[in-house]
Amino acid sequence: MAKVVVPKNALKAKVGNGGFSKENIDKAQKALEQNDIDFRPIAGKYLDEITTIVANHDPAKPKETLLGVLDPLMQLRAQGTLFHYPSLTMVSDIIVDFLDFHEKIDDRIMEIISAYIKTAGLILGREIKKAENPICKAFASELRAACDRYNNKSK
Amino acid sequence: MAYNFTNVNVLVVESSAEMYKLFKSVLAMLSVPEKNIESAFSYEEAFEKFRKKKHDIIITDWLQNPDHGIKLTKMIRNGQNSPNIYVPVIMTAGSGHFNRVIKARDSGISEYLVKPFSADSLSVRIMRVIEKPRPFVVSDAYKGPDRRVRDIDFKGENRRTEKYEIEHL
Repeated sequence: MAKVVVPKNALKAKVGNGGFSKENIDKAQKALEQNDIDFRPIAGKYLDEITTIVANHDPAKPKETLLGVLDPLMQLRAQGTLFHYPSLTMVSDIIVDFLDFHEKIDDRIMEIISAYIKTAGLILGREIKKAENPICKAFASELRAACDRYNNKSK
Repeated sequence: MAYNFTNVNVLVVESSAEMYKLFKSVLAMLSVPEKNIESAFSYEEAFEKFRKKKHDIIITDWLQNPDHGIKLTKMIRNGQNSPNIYVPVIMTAGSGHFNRVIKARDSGISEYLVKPFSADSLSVRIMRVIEKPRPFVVSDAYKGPDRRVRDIDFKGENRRTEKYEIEHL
């Protein structure tokens, strides 16, 4: 039988009342925005990881390959904006969103992932940081169109 | 007066040193003393550190291979060696896809935060675990915060035959 337990709120007892001051939240946001971490080597590592998984893809294990590439893709999506590359978050968002709706990888999905790797590599190589950059927008549009074509054909 | 984190220890489980550094700087600005913030970069390291220090809040990434953050949460909630199965766990991930959120919820997380995040969204999650912790459901199938976060007026037949036993600790 299920039991409902109401634990003592030890955390509340430790921190007390008052919440976070707006001043502290603003300072924290500034710390977030003004970090000086160079994202390119980090992103490069994740892209290498995706490239390796794609290169070693075993057609007998399409589910494993999908899960394998989703991890570094999620990191690129998550970290791009945090480390001043919203451009990379935008294109990664398209592919993560697309892959999250599929359960396994096939040849056509592999092509889309390969296109993403090229796109992300170009964004990093040319140091395109802003998502509003016309080149980045064009890359994103191409990638989205490829994902849409796949989804429409699969219907 | 604002929250006082002097006696609060936070464990940040991340995929990279850079992400940990970022979390640490944000938490420090939210008045968590830097000496109270500890890092871990794998679920094994995180659980070992949690066992020793019994942190008050755990912020964990989804982690790779492919979902070690989920594994960590299950170890905290179900593990015989877990020092505090009720500790708040805030999970962060690069996707807010429905299936992913459900999977995280079913592992027993307290809050879910999609990255990239803002300082405001992180502070809201921390405030929720402080001010509105959900009661815990302990059953064979699930151990963790009550997964029902909304009160919905249900008009159908009540098929539940057993009454919950409620225990206040």
